[in-house]
Amino acid sequence: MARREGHLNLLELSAVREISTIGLEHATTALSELTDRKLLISAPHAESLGIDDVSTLLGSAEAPAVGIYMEIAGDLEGHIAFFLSWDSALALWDILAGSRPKSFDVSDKQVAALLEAGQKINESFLSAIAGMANLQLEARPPVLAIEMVGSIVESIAAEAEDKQSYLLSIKTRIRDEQGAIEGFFLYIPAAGGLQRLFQQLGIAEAA
Amino acid sequence: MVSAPVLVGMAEIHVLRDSGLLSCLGLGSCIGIVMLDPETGIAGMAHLMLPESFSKKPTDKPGKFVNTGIQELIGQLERAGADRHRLRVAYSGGAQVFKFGSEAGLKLDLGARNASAVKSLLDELGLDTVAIDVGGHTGRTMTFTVETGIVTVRTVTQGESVLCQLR
Repeated sequence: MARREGHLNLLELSAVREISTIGLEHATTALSELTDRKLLISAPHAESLGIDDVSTLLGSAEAPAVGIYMEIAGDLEGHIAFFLSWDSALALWDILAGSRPKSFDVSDKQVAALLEAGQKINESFLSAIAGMANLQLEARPPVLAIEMVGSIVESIAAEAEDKQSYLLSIKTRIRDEQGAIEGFFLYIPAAGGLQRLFQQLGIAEAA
Repeated sequence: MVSAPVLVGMAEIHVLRDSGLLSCLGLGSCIGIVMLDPETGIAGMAHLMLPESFSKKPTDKPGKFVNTGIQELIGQLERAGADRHRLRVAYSGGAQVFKFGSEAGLKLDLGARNASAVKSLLDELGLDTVAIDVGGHTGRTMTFTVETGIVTVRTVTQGESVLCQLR
């Protein structure tokens, strides 16, 4: 298949997958500490995306979900988000806030709990990558959405596209042993940020 | 017979004639726009992502941008036999789904920029806009039934409701 503009080659993809795995291990540890639960992590799936693929990236576009999104500035410019299905968010609320919302109307306290958890998870992922590549990272404060999962992913993809990022997703499933909590990661590095990362890691950019 | 809707994904444009369903699932900051020529029964939907093309080179995905996407949608409708002066239009989306967090109100205004870009282009083109449902923090699914001309919008909290009828 011809290489499309803005897509990564296999070497680059495998490098991204490898560093993501380490980032994800850190993120999982952070979530594990927060919830005091043993968590399992699936091998990250890294892929170059076309915009056509975006809406169905996390399954049914209309299913309600919680997304905690952060824009990344600094050397590693890009976008990162952690998603929980609605049921998983409810389970996480039970653990973190001691109560779950009765409807989609969530209290300030409940919002704060998930914002904080999401930020911690995203930041552990990022700082692991930054540490490895010896790069400076600056993450903007997190924003949170409770909406159709498609509308959240789509909004992030549009932001990324606006800044001419690689549409690259690193998708991982993090879940506890009971299967009550299941989260997905989406990491979309900006083109410049990804090149800097490859340079630091000594991966020559393929023609 | 109830047919499955034609799903119009990000940056896509689809045109149908006389019957069928067109649907944009889970619109966030993007805009779903539908146009119908009631006389010929030719209808189309586009799923627009960004206000305008910043590139000088032609894009392979005109549906990505409001300016190129609306022109391309009208072009495809005309090539199918529609008359642009008869087109009736409705659009939806342009939300800011990130409602919570200290920075939620400060940035990510893409949805509002998209909505205002659509409005000014439609005004400029003098098209008949029948209904608009944009903004807020709500993700939306917009569905158009070509046969009846009915446009519906579905949200997580409000369920499905009729936005307008283009016929």
